[in-house]
Amino acid sequence: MNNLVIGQFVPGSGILYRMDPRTKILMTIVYVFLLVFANSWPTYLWAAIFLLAALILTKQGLGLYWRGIKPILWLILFTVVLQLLFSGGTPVLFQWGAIKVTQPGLINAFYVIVRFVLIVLMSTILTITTPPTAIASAIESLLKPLKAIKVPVAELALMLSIALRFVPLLMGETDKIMKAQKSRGMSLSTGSLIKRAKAVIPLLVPLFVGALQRALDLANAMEVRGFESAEGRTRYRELSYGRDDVLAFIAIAVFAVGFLALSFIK
Amino acid sequence: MTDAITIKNLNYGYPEQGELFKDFNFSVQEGEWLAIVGHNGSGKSTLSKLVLGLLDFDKGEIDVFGQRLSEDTLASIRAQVGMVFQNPDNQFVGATVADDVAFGLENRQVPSKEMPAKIEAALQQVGMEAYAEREPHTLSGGQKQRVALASILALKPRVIILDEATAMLDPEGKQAVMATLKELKARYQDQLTLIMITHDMEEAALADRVAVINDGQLVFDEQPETLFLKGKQLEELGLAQPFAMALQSALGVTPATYRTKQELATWLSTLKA
Amino acid sequence: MVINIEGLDFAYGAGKQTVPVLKNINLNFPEGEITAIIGQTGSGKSTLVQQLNVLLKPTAGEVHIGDHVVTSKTKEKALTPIRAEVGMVFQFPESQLFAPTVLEDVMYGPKNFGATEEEAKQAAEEALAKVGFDASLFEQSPFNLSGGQMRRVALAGVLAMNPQTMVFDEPAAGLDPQGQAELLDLLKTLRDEGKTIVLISHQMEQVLALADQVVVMKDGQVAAHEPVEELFARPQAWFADQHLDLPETIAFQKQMEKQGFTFEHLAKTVDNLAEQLAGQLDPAALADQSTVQKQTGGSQHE
Repeated sequence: MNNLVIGQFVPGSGILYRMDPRTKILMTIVYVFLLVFANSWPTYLWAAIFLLAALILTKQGLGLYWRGIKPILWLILFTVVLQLLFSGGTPVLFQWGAIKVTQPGLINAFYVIVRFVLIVLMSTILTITTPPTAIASAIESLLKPLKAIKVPVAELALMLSIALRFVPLLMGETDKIMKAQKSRGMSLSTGSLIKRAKAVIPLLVPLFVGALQRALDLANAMEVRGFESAEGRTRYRELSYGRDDVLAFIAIAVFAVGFLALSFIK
Repeated sequence: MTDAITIKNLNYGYPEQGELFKDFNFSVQEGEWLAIVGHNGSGKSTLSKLVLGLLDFDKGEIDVFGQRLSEDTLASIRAQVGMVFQNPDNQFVGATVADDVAFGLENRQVPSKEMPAKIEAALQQVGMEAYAEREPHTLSGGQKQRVALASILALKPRVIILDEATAMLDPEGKQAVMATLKELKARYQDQLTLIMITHDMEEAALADRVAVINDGQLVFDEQPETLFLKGKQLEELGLAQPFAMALQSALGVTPATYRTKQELATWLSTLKA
Repeated sequence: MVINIEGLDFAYGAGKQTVPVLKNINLNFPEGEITAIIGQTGSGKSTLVQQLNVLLKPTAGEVHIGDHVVTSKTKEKALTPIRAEVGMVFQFPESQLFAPTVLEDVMYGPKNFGATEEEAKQAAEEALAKVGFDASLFEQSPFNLSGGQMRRVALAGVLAMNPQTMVFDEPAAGLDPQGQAELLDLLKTLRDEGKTIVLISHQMEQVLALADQVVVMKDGQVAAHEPVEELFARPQAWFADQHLDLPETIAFQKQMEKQGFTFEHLAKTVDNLAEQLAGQLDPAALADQSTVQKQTGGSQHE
């Protein structure tokens, strides 16, 4: 029912599923960071090869990723048009009034598409192979040093994982309240802007009231099961680096060295 | 037998609605299966929240296995009393079934290595072991409530309170939860005290003892077999009569002992003209 | 107003990823009658009734609601007026309350469908009176009410639009026996006023007490559609197949039939069952046996 692939976990069995979520997050960050410095077709090609290898290792069909890209095609197209129209340089390939398309603009636009797609796909790989809770505990683990400056990392991570757990529930609730108010004649698509803003109130108030009730109930259920503080709890899903993670770190290191070398060759 | 829960001279009122319990006394024995019934707003659910320290009362004493309920004993009391709430969605803490059962174990600082076996064992007791990696929104209401039960069983409680735990379920879910409870009771016998808050008389019939609460007062406190004989009096309290009783009173029979549907059918057959 | 469903298919999603929910549904909902829709959770009941209120449009086939015809191509704009004619009470409808006062909440629907402030107020007051809601609470915040009271306000919110047809999805869920009885009375009153009612229920007692027609859904298809008397005359095994319970009176009646009793009518109430049974019992033995039981005072339930 939900066509959005980005941010969705899809169970599977590839090597990427066995890796520690922290490794995957770090890899994604390094990859995206390096892409910012991509400046030539060899660098892009190298990045694309690395991505393709990762894609294959997830053992998911490419169709899944295509569905991940599809909803944001319009966004990509929009960025490309902006790039095309508003970059200067010579030679000019096409001119119509104030609008002109130049060769550097065309190349730039192409690079923008590639960069965009590569970043989106890399993040999609992360979320497809990693359950939200694993991402939450990985973030907690990675942010642990911040405890030294009194950041409540454990609390934040628990809040994040509970919030993630309630997303599908709140979506269902929104749908139900929307339908209930629609059947009482609510219309969000007509009238002035102020009228439309006001029309949202019958939707928002029940949502907030419902969420608040849920929060109170959940707090009770947590307390009864002995919850006192997010600190000092043990973990069912302990994170631990394994052989696959070592391989991954080697892979990203090779990628990084190669990438930097290629970007200097230019 | 020892008392699992003793309530003495309890006074409690909602901030805006005045007094609910006034000098309320009640006790639950270890190992019994107790049903607390009453119409909505009778105070039956409030009582369970008071016992677990989820609400603060004004005056009186609550003892759980000899421990007086206070700030200091709260954690220890909650370690012995588990509770399943009404709404299946609002008590699911974990992202998957296994994670939800793990939540209480994590709070108790159970070492990670010991958790999988405990989770598996708890899920087996409610027949949900095949669903360990499922996410809550893929489960039915009855399945979620059984997971809630497993989450509590993993903590090895001495008392389990079910606060209208079947009220939001469809008949199939209700039956599955009740069947699970029967199994648990048969398995643990006197080691487990079950308190079931409900307004469903067919559920209450499974208990050893039924307490009827109305406006914060204990109206009846007896075995279901004798309670059900009160028939019309139950209806006046906003409760339903069990079917077999309603049919007998429609036949003009005032039985001296309670008959189940099956027993009634057998009895009527012997009277066939 | 006649409601007809002809050759309806419905699937969620689009393109390759569709999830079929309803298949080849043909139904009519007779005017002024209560049609109950029953079936296991997930059999498509809720999806089906959302077609009546056009919250969902058919993937194929047609839904006729009075003079309106809804197909997959009907524009969103054309749907709103239809919603005024079919009121929809969702499961746990109290979750839709939002206004600062009870009265304002109930006025929301009528105002959306073009009533003036005065008209809406009058409609709201009438609707609240109909659900037995005390006038002294009209200016209260709906969030300070008890669960049962909130349910009534939510019901009034739909009643106030005065729809000719009303759909109820498990309206008695979570209510105590008294609350349930009051709700059944309300549905009967509405039917007696000539409204067409569609009722989704898991509670066979309610279905037996209220319904004129019953639709049984199974796996997105209509497994049966017939008058309530015919349905419950079906053998017990058929209900087990549908994962449905029998109402207690009917189950008991069928059990007694096995033991040689005969019944002229389907026992719709406990009283009627008792009446039909009494004629076949030995009156002297009945009185006698009850005394014998008193003396022995059985203890078999310990």
